[in-house]
Amino acid sequence: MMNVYVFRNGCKFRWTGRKRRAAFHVVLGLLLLPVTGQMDPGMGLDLNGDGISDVWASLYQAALLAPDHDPDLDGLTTMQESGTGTHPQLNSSVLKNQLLHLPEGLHLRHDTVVGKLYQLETSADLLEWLPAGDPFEGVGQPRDVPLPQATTQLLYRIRVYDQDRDQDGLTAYEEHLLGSSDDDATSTGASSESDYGRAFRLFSSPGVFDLNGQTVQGKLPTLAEASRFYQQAGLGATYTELEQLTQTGIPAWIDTQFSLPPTLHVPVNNQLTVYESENGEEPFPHSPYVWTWWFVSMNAQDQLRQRVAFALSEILVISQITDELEDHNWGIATYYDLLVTHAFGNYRDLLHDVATSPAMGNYLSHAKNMPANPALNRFPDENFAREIMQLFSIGLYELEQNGTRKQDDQGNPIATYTNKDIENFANVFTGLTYNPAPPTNGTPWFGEDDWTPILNEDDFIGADSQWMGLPMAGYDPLHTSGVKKLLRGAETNGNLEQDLTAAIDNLFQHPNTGPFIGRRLIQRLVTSNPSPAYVYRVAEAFRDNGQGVRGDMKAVIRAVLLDPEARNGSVQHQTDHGKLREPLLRHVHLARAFRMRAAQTPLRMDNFDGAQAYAMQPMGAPSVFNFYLPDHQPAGELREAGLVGPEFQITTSTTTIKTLNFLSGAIAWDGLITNDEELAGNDEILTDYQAELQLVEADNLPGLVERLNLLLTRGQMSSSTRQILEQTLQQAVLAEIEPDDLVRFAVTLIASSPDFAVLR
Amino acid sequence: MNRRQFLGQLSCAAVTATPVLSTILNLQMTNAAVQAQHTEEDYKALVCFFFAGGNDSFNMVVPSGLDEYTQYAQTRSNMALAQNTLLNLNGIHQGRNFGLHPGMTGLQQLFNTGKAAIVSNVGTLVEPVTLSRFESGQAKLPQGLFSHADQIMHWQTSVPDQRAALGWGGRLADLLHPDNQASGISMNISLSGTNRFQTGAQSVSYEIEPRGNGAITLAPYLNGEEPILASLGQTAIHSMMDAEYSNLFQKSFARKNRDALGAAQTFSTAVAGKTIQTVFSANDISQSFHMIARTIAARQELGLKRQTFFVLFGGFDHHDELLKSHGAMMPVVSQALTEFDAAMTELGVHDKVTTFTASDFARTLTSNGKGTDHAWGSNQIVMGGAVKGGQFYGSYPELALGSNLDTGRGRLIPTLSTDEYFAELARWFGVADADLGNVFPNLDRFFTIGSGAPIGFMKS
Repeated sequence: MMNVYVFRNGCKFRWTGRKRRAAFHVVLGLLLLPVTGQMDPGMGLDLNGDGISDVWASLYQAALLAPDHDPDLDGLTTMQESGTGTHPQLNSSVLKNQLLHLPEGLHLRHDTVVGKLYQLETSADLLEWLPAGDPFEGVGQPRDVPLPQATTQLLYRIRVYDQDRDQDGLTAYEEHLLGSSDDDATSTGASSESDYGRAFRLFSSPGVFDLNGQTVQGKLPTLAEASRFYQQAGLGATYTELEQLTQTGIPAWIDTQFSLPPTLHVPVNNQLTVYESENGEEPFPHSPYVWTWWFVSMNAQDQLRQRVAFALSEILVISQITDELEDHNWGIATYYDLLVTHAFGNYRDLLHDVATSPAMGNYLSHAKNMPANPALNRFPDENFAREIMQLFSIGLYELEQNGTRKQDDQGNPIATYTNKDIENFANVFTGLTYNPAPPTNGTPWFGEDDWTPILNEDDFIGADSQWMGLPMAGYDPLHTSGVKKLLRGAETNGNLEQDLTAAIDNLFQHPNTGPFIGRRLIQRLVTSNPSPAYVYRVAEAFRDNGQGVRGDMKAVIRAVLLDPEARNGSVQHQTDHGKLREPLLRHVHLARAFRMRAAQTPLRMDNFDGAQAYAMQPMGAPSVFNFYLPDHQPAGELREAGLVGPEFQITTSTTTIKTLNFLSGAIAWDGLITNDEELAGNDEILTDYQAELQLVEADNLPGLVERLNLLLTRGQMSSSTRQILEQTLQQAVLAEIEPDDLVRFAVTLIASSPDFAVLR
Repeated sequence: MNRRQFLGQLSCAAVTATPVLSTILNLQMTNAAVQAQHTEEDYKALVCFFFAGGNDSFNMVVPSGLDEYTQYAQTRSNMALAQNTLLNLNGIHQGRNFGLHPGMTGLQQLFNTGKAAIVSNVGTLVEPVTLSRFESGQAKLPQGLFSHADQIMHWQTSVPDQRAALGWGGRLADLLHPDNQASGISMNISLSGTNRFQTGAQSVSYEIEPRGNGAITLAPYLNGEEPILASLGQTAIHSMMDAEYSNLFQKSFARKNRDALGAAQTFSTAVAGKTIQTVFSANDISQSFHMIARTIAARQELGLKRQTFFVLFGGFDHHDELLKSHGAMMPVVSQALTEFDAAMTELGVHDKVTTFTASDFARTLTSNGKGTDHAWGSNQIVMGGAVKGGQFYGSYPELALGSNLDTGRGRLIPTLSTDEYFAELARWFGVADADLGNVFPNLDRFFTIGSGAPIGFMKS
């Protein structure tokens, strides 16, 4: 980002002047330094990853110029001119300068470009350069810079660099050309779209747009770019879906996704129940929720919503792996629909509905939570009060807006709450019970002064809807009265609904919530180790969607997906970028890419559950801490580099090989991952391998590998993987393996590769 | 000493990461000395039995004398176990009688025959803490006190003033591994996936399954129906895992797969021939201990003279259904320990294998109506032929509310640190006193290193 340019002409010249006080020499040199001019990957719009701003390249139609050539022979390469903001093919477009003898002293008159920053630097030895005076803004015309007096020979140069005052990912130079402001990240006023998001929309949508008087054609994503995006934003695409994405562009796809009606899980769950009953199998509640999840994930059009809901299910965790919830798939589906519904809503509403969800009330045991009775040494359950703070909103330590921890004067992290705060919040979460109250006599689901429930859940087995379908109800006589202290000096002293509202608002409004939730969403969708600047941009979108709304999930999702660190082409080459994909999502991706489905009994999804292999199941985390911790550091390369890799926590000596075996079986046997012949014989699994088969039948192995590369490894397949694949498949062809088997074998090998496992 | 001076000292002492790493060479020299002094078979194993979620260990070990029980019952309210159900532990300890949870008949036998002991009120500590310093905010406390993830981390690293990456089992392995890896299998073996306890600077854990032959091997493609594809597939997958990747996630993923593929056959073969006569229960926990016993039986094939094992038993977060659910889990613990103890006798390594329990924390002494909440100091079990069994160690606390250890609701300040608890085990395992402070950087805040055993529950 700190690119160095020396003011122009190719040779240095000496000037000797006189001053009233003392004679001195100034050597003004043009020192052509080994300057790359390359952009910082996290700053500016650089979708093709060539290190040159796409805005500059479009303005000067420089996309096809070689970065290290100097076609206009003005002394600066194309790459360098992209840094100075000058025309690469116009010799006169350079930053000219001249020395001026003004009455107040010697000045350098220097051309400037709007948006760029300039810094005069001096050196006595060409080795060490020190700034002289303050940096100054480019204004589009020459500026006169006073040269400091010197008693010895000094060299001067001017450093030109970019700035991003509003930290929205676009440089001030780009924003000037795009007509947005560098003092406001959402300056164009479009709801839930940052200035970077708007620039991305212009540059990557079909059609033309005006860029400072220049008509520019939008550049649609390549298949590789579409594939990479879809792995971040969806559950897995077919080749046709990727081709469609290259026609519509990413912004329009997101708009469409935002407008699609949600695919809810409860109706599917109900269908499954009916299906099972009709087929004479063990009826509800024994069909696991995992079938429902798979059916929706395979068939839903609202892929972005389902993808975000799944991410939320790994943040606001409940699990069916408990004695009580394992039999309540309906309650789990109802909870999941909260996530689906609010995925494009507001985080505050999500937090509120999670707090009053009966499944959550059961999982974190604040349902039927009673006020303190000190005489009996009984106090409110602290479970939910703790985890809503630690895991669902603010976390343990105070955060800067960029997600880094604040420190006290001893350098220690600052706790966001004490156990006293938890006790206060536990008082808030008293008086909630399942809804509706038992119909018998209208009394709530716990006795007045009795800790024994009048009824318990067992009375409702088989009738989940009686208590898992509606939000928990408040019962004020069993809500703790009096003042409850909240965080940051707030307090509440109301009935249950008032206290709940105050407590949820208290957490929602806490400055930590944006960076805390933002970082987790980035980790789920894009990369395990986002930079502070990336977290900041997402936290800002959480704080204000551009129209004064806090917690707008659409703005947050756009910010996560349309960020320089997600979209600029060069990030994928950074060794610390990306994430190990959740093994479950790798599996869904394969199933969706080839449209695996049962011919006769499409609702049956039992053969898709890979939990035993890869230690992961939808809504099946071992605890509220999810399958892995967000800061898990696996031994080896990542830890040594100071990086986290959450998903590696379930990547063990045995899950690695079990996952290889499982996915291999799922592909080789068309989704039937069981060796149970009876089950395998039940139905035929349909798959779509026609295009791949045609390539095999045409003896086009490289074509097959390239198609699978685009479909599965985002066009990023490493040369070694490609070589291994082509050689292996060639040998298989020589062995006269049937095309049907050959295609599946190729898919299996790619599914085993590190290229497929890691999204980068 | 004023507060500023005090904190200043702490912050100096708290800088531990570098000293721990820099002493590994030093420790390796000690290791040579350890090896030299053994004439009989030189083998020792430490088994960490971790109760995730926070075991309510004040319902695992209960004072049973009339006065103490009355106090217990009053404090615990509807979470108290009935006095007449408690299983008597022989002897008077710290002036009191104690009983075990009624589901732990096996452990009762182990204790009463001197094969197991109880360590009382142990927990994560950065420094000794008094109630007044806790309440005034002066006490230096573990990061993330009362939080599951943080306390699990601290129990596994024993460096609770940091978010330390390395566990103390891993630090031991860094020290001992060089003489100890003939087969290429790590000395740190986990039955419960990756964990911090066994993560060292150089050493990693090797994760196995409770059943089968422990390791999983790569299945032939199409179950071998096309033999050529099976063999081509094996070769191709190995080649992809052997290849170089510049992206660190790909590199890490490939290495983990490569290591797993490389070790699977060796491990399975070593364990395949080992059978244990002792009958183990069918549940995952007992089966995990069964697999540990088989792995210990294969110690010579695996070329390991020192091993650590890690078994995690989850589901102890009993905010709800404490009596029922905890009541169902205590027998599983007791049974697994009993079966494992018998198996160690069968293998003739009873005095060479020490099992110890750990957990995030104990739980509030008071009830929330349905269960109990997160607390701090806890009671733990140590078991094996090298343990001076039938005894209580540390100081079992008064259970009256408002005691000088009660930070509220019966969240008790620990009176033994995990450092002291683990240092006792590490000394037995072979770490010299001179090196203890390097393995447990905060140990000297609780105990004068060189003054003998920190607690005294191990025989040597």
